[in-house]
Amino acid sequence: MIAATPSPLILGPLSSGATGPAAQFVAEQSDESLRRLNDSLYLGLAQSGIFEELCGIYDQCSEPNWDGYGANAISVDAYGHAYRFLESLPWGIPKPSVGAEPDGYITLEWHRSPRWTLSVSISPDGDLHYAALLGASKAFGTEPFFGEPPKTILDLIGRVSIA
Amino acid sequence: MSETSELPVEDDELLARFVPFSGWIRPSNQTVKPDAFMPPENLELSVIRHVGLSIQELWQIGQSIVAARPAKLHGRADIGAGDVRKQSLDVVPTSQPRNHAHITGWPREKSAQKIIAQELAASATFIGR
Repeated sequence: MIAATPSPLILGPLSSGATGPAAQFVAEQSDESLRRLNDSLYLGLAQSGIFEELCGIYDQCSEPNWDGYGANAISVDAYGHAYRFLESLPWGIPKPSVGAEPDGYITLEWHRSPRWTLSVSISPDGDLHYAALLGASKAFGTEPFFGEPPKTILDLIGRVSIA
Repeated sequence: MSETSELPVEDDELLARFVPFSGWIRPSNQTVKPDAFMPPENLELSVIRHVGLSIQELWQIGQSIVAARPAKLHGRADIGAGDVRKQSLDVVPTSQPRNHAHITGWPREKSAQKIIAQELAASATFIGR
């Protein structure tokens, strides 16, 4: 089993260069505020339980034939890319649902209704294959993942998630 | 073996895709995800034809699919053969096992497969076990 571990703080401490008790107090308060801000930024998805859900899917699908139809196992590489992709999503992104496909890719789905839905498949190579039904139109394609979420996919998440 | 298995699949037939994995069901509304309709590497997606089967027999076939591994049968996704063919796919019967068929004609490109699987999932009805 792979443990879901949180990422380090996103923002670093601020310093005005001032000294003395008042400056020390302000610095401490600033650090505390910063810590809370980091927690709230990271909380978005971390506190939603998404990483535990990802772990659970990996545990269920890390052996071949996990679906009874002869599926490939989910690889550690696919898990790692999915984890980092989730970590890279900006504040405010709604929680996706985690799944898996027969070729061993991990899927993340943002779903509003049958015709407003986005699915992103994450390959062991770090490719992001996406498909979205957007009312009467649709969009699909592939984007590489280099640590930042592709704008195309962020835009699609936004379109699908608008209530 | 039923002779029905040998006959061509009509557009008005129902097909069952069994769901042995909870990750293929949306927890929010108990509908099926497109993941359940993604083809394997050989691009032949297994389904069972309803025709000529009682509901009990249908579930027995589903149970036999998951018996190959220690898994729970969570339900099945029913879809019309006509809805499958609207996506430029075909449904081809096989001689074994009973009432088995393959959904064929999938594109090779992964994202093109995904958009079709989404259309199939949108047309399907999930029935919990």
